[in-house]
Amino acid sequence: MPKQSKSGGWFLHFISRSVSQRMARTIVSVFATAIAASVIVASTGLSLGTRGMLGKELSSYGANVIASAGKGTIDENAASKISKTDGVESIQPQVYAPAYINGVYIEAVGVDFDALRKEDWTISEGSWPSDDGVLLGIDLKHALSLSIGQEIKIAVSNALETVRVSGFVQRGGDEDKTAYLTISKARELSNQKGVNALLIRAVPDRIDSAVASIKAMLPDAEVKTLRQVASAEEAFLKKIGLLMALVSIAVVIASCISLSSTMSATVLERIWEIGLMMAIGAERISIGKFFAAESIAVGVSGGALGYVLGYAASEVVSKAAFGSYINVPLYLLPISIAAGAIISVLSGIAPVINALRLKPAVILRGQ
Amino acid sequence: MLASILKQSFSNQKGAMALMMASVSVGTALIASLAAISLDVKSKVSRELRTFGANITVEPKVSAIAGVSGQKRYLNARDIEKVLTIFWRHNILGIQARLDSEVDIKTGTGQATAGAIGLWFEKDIPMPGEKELFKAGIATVSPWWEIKGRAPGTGEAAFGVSLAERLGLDIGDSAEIGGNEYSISALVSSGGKEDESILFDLPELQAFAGLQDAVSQINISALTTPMDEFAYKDPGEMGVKEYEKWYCTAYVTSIAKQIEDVVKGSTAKPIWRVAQSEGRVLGRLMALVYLLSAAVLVAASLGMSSTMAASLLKRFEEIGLMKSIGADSYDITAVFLSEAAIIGLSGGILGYFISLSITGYIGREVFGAVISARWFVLLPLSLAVSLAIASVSSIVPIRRALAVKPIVVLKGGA
Repeated sequence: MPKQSKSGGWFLHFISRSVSQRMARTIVSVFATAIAASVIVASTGLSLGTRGMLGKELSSYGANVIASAGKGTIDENAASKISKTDGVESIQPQVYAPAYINGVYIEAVGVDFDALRKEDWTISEGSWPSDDGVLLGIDLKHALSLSIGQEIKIAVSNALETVRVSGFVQRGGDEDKTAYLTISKARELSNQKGVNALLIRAVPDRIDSAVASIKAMLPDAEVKTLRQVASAEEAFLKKIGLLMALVSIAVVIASCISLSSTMSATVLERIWEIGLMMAIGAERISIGKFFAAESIAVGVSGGALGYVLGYAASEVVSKAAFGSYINVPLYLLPISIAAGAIISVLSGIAPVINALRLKPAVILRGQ
Repeated sequence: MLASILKQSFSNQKGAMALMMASVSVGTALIASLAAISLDVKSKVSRELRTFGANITVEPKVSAIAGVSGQKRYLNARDIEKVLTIFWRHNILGIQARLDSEVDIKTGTGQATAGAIGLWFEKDIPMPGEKELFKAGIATVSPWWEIKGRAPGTGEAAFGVSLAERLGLDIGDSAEIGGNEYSISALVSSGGKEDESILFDLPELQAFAGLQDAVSQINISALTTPMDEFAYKDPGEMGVKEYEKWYCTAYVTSIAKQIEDVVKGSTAKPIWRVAQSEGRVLGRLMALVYLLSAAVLVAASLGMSSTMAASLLKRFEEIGLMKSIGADSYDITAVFLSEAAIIGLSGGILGYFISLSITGYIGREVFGAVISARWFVLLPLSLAVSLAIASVSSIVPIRRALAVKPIVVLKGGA
């Protein structure tokens, strides 16, 4: 037992001496490991996060799920519950009020204008409407010869109301032929509570589970995935995810190779030391252990430092590219440390084993 | 003299030299690959973004006389091929013509009215002045449609899945539409209005509705330059120079304007939902790739230079020996810089070839296309990067080595 502890003491003493006496070189090794590990952490973290980040950017493509009530309506409480469902990014309630304006049949829809603003709608003329204002698709402007501020009569079933044109919008789709009212106005006109349909924007990755939970919440409604948006998003994000994954694999491999060549280079220059150790009677196995332990120490500290550097680098990149911070998973910390230690040991041990095969005299005489 | 020293130096330390070269070539390969990808990713990704479908829609001009739901107005299908003569014709990737109508359909239980859509399932359009044909049709503007069966021809129709299900019809069945017998050749699922409609080949519906050459909408998918601040200016208020610049940039608005000019009586509008996100996604992704490349450049350079520095540091003894037999600083610098140059050049060339296979692989796997790595850009870039890194990282160790006193190192007290 005492002998054991004595030999352990020798071991630690040796390592601490070796590290402190060669401070500059130890720092270089740790730093090289840290750089390689940080590149691994940053590229993996970024490639994992890109999908989610780009998914958010795609939100101006609009809804990818639609829940329509058919002839009935969806209760407003249910709507607000859906907006809090996991995987649902935003919802846009719709109240349909088919109407006549100046005798022409128009699709009039009650909407939440704040939600449209978040979808990046821009008003091409005029301003966003308030209570009794109406936002018109640009085609209606030409078709009905309307102008901003004009009062128009809008007829729904038996009700006749006067509303003011507050703005025109151009979107290039059916929106250009639609009249948009506030939800309360549309309800008043069509004489109904609740909403007729919900346009739902789900996170592209979790669209299936979101659809399933919406279906469970609205058993009477028809819930459909809008395939133009959903499938294109899926295909696009898959490609970009693959691109990022392949790039980061290339980066990881390259930094491993680069690190291992640095580590072998630093060990190569210490062959003379190995010769000396053997000459003064150290066992080969303890020399091997000694170098392995030293490599592990360098690898672990470099890996840990690398995680911190990589974390910082991915946040900087993400902030610059996406304007928001990315979630770098914590499990990359052990991976980073393990990668540092493994590369450092593997690349350090080969030259040592080679040296241990030689006679000390050969090494000390200089090959 | 220098040559023989270099020869000796390389043959005596094969291991160390190989390590340095490996490190330099891997680092260079990585930098060159990322450079190639960032140079080409913009065009590749814009093409991918076209899977979101048409970004320009062309409709008959709306005027007060012909209201939205008043008398129907149509575009002339013969004008469509003129779209392929505009300035940005090579950016046009897809065209779909569409005629909306209504038909009566007789079912077992009675009569119903259904929406009828005439369109090109697959269509080759002759390109004015060129031998090749332009491929238009469903796959070019709405790749997400699922079509089971085969495109309908004369006397045939395709049914939207929801409509077919409601009427209990399937492929191979026949249906009486507008008094004529049609056989169902396909079921179409688009996730939109088409699921509730009957789809015909465009000429078939034109003949049926008595509207020769009429289309109610043209959808176009075009590669565009993301909108910037300049693009949002009103072209009506631009000077001649500005207007020219706007017209000759592939903004979605300028392409739409050019289309509007060639299709008589039309308004061509960007589909903003698609066009807006496209620019944003592209911008973000480009920023990401550039930043990643910059980070890799820094990391790879540090890795390479630390290997170089580590290998040089152990050669103090050699330097001491050189000095003691009369070499001056100039000679020693010449020897080590030449070594660095040789390693840099050969590592650079090797790195360039490795990068070719990396970018080739990524291009094939991700985009199914070659990433066009222009050799006259990338080869000089690789060589410059590797040479610069090899020599810059040698400078510090060489300077330290020059300060060394020969006696001290030779005695073994470095």
